[in-house]
Amino acid sequence: MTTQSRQQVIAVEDLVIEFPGEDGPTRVVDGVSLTLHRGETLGVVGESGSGKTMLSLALMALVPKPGSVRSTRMELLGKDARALDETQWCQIRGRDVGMIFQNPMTGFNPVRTIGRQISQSLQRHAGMGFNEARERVITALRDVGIPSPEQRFNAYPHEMSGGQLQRAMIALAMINRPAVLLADEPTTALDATVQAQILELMRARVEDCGLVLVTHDLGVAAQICDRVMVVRHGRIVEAGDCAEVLRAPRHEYTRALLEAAPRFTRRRLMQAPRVPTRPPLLEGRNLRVSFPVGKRQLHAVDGVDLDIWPGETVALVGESGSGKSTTALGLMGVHPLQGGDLRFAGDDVTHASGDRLKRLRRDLQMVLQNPYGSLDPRWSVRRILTEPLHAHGVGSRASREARVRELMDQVQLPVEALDRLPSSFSGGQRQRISIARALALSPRILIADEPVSALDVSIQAQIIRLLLEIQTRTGVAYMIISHDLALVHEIADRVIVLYLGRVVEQGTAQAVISAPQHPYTAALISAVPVVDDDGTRKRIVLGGEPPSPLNPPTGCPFHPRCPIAQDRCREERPPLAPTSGGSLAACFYPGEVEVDLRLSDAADG
Amino acid sequence: MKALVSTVGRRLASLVLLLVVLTTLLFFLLRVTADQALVLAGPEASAEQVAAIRAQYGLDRPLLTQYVSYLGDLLRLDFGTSIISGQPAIAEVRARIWATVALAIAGMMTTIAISIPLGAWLGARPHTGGRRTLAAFVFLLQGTPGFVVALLLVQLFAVQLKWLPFMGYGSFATWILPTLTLASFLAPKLTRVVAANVNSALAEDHIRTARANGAAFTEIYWRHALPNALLGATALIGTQFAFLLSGSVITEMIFGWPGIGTLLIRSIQSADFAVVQAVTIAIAIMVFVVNALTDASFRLLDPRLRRAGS
Amino acid sequence: MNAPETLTIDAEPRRRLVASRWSPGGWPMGLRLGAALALLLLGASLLLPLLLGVDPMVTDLGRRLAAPGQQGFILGSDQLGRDILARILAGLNWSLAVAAVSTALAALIGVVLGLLAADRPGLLRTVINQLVDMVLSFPGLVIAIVVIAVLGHGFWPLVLTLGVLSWPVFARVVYAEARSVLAEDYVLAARLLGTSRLRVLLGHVLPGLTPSLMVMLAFHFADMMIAESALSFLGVGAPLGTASLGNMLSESRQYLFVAPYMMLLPAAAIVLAVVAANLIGDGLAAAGRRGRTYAHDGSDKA
Repeated sequence: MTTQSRQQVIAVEDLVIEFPGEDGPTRVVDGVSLTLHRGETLGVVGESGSGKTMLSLALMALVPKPGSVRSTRMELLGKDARALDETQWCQIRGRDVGMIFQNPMTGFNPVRTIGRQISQSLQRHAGMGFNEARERVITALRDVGIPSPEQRFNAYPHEMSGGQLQRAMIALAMINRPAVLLADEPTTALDATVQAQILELMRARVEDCGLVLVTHDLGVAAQICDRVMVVRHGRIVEAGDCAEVLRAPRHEYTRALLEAAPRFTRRRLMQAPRVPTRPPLLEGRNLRVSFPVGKRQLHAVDGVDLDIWPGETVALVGESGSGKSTTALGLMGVHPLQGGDLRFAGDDVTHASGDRLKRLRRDLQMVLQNPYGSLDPRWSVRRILTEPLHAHGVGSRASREARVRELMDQVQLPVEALDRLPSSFSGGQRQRISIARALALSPRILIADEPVSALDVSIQAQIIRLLLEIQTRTGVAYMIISHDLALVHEIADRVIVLYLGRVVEQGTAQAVISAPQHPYTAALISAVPVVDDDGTRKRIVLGGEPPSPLNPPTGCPFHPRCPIAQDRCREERPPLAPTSGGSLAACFYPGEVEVDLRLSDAADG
Repeated sequence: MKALVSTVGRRLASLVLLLVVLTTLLFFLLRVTADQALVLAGPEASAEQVAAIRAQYGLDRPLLTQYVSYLGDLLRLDFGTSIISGQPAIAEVRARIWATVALAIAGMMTTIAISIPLGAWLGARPHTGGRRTLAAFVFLLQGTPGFVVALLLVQLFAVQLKWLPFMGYGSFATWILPTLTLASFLAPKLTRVVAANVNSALAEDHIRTARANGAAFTEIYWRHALPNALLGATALIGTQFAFLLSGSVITEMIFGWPGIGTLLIRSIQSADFAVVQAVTIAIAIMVFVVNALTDASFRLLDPRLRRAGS
Repeated sequence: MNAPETLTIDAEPRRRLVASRWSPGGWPMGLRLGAALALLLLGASLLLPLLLGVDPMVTDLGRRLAAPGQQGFILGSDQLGRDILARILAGLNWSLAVAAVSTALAALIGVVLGLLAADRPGLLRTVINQLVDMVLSFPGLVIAIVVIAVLGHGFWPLVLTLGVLSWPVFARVVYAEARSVLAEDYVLAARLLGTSRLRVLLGHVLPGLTPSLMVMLAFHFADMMIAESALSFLGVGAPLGTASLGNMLSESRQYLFVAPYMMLLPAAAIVLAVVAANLIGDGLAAAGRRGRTYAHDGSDKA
């Protein structure tokens, strides 16, 4: 796409955004310049605190109150935007510039219908009456792929899923055919499979406007951006043609981001898959967990078989709602198992409670996903780390202190930080504390629920490396729950894929990821936005969203979304059976969907 | 429809439960702690006279027997007879309840008429100048007990300015001070809640979406922030109605209002237990009905609750 | 291996932004004002009577209804020639004591039942919540009037009635907040570690409630001040003749024309005390909101 021939829609020079603070103003954006043309997609890539969100808000004059915005030049569609007053901005917002926000769940007024909220913008800017606007909105909702848009027009936000709301948000932002579209992390709050749908949609819909895509994810940028701008601490560290920057980054920070970005590399961090020789440490058969919903039962985990061998790394993957976390909490005895058989080192622990459960927890520990929520904000690090020792009455005062110091050392945090509260640590550091706490009792299995997904990409790699180091040193086995198949490919020995609370594929990471047998696995792999994708990667974009486990489809639970479903799939449920690819898959037509991994040799880990 | 029936059913069940607990509580409190026969007979009565009265009213029976027959009477809506007027207690309540209800409605209307516009205005923009002063005044008023407000109003309008009567029930003028007093119980709180709600509604994510689509402040305010904020205030009006009725007891007493509040105080002073019971039960039912109505309208107004039931 | 991240990266700029919205030096203005006012009132009610040395109960019919500053009365005298200043101080003392003890009682019952209901789903929770709803829909003051009329006047009947009728306010908030704390990841983490239920409640949940509990205590104290004076005003609170603010106001009604100060002065005392408590409550709530902003900053990567 040539950009020169097209109309320039944004031109900003030396943009500065400041917020007043105790010790002088804080610059969140510091001297950023950018241009954007029609038909062009500019990626603004940065981690938290980079000022990328403020930057996009400034382009709409929406920077919140105490903030001040300055620039030497700011042109919007060729007009000086700095001279505009609020009334003029009101005419521009939504008409010439549209914006898509990160969290679609809170982006709509909860007590007004979606249709009304979208048609409002048409009535305002295009001077349409409600009935005329209604028709246009319904068309727009259909265009963004919302099924039965006539009915959805009258739906309230709480009646729609996150993915659908984000589609509606796109319809709203595009309804007046703006020249500029700003999208602030439009897919971050969504599942990978839904993210793939939304990115596909955005790529298709932004034909004749300029798109600014704000994201932390280079993989996302790689897929749809023409140019990228990498920002850090409010400054541009590198800018240029997207493919160019990704191929040959000049700045060290870009290189670090790139290295941390998802990709399927040939060189896996865990070299040879360890072949289990001893019996499994944890053996789960036909595990079931269900919750009452009204008068019915929601089968969150519906007959899962699962083994963990000493010292290995098992990955549990699937979309949200697939039962990954519930399975983990079932193993941990938080959600009682309604059925099945669970053994730890040969002992039956299926219905362990009281002292037996407590004893099991010395061997089986868990790290939670969100490091911001999993540490009590009022407890010092020392108290946090001694909590498990206290709970199990381990050691004396002195030996506990020694253990705590040892743990800090293991997770590479300074012992001087022991008296500080969690709030003085960054996300990555908090996750280190979380890991140290889980290790305090020297467990033999550590379950980690999305241990890095709440962290900045550059921090993710550090935490993963830490986990691997600990494994080498202590021989602990990991069960890692993740939606990031690239990460799983890198570190896991075996992979278990869950869909609607059932295992649909299981095997070595090598086999499952390079040659997935189940179409769902293939779609999950394909949904990972890898940085090595220049837009030509063949992708399988799943239609729709996971059905509710309350009414699972008949036959193969995946058939409504499956690209290769046959009549048989609608009636019969396929059993988990060995396949030619070496893994077990619950599919009548295994291995029929191929994936394009874009395997890369690059990135020396 | 099924959901509606079950909601109403659950409500009625809890009303019955409430009444059983309340009447039981009243019965034992009143019977155990004071000897009604002594009150009925008067201070001059001889032991024989007291015993006769005891027998006449069945007060010599075991407490449990009395309790059962008391519950039986209640089921037949027989609340007993006032020892002062000789009238059935329920008739006494019926004769006065409308003065109380009318005053409560007037007080509530005034509260709403003051609080919602004032709160909406106070919450609209950051506190500066006039808003700050008025907010401070509302804060001060919230710290002023209702009966103090009443006394101040009387002092100012009846004693100093002599504009309004400070007692009585009848012409429009007699309504003004009691209504204002009653409003003063709830209006400051409601004002502050509306203001806080408007303020936080303006900070919601969806407001940013509306702004990003070109909505001007007035539109955002009237179409998004205010309706959402008032939705929350609806709930408060219901839960505070009990408080308002408590206020009306005080208000009625100060202004000599012929409602069930003055009746209650007078009956307590003269140990007229049948009337005390009847008034308390009447008030409890009123509170309950208003709570149920606001809850229902809240459910109707908020789509998140409206469809959740079906 | 890279060096561990330093202590200043991510979310730091945002945190500083939030902090800057508040004046440096901790407490919000209202909180400082309220605390100062509260200290002043408390100090005056405890110390001034000693300095003054006047018995609030001593009548002097020869010097009745003296205006403030006249006949040796700093704030005047009432219809029986009693010193109004001494009576206000004694009344303040009484009201503060009643409000403090009944608030403590309500908080104690409310916290215990609220925590129990939050921690134990099932029958216990249902029963407690039903009880809360029921007591909340009692017309409180009316019941209090009845109960006190029956139990008799005095400090303890008053305190017990106010406390027992108002605990659901605490129970309801404690229940809701405790449930949200119990749903926090750090409570899940504690359970996963094997921490006992009681330890979780006392170590994580209760401290988590403290900020809102402080706010509630202040507001409840204000409500109890008002309730006490209202009951006394109606003649069912403090024993008749006792120096209490409600009694004084009740007595003043007959002298509105001749001695308005008999009403205005005790009224001012009540308003000051209630406003002080409300200011503290408001200030604590504001400080809590700030704290919460701190706790939740940078909760995600974007």
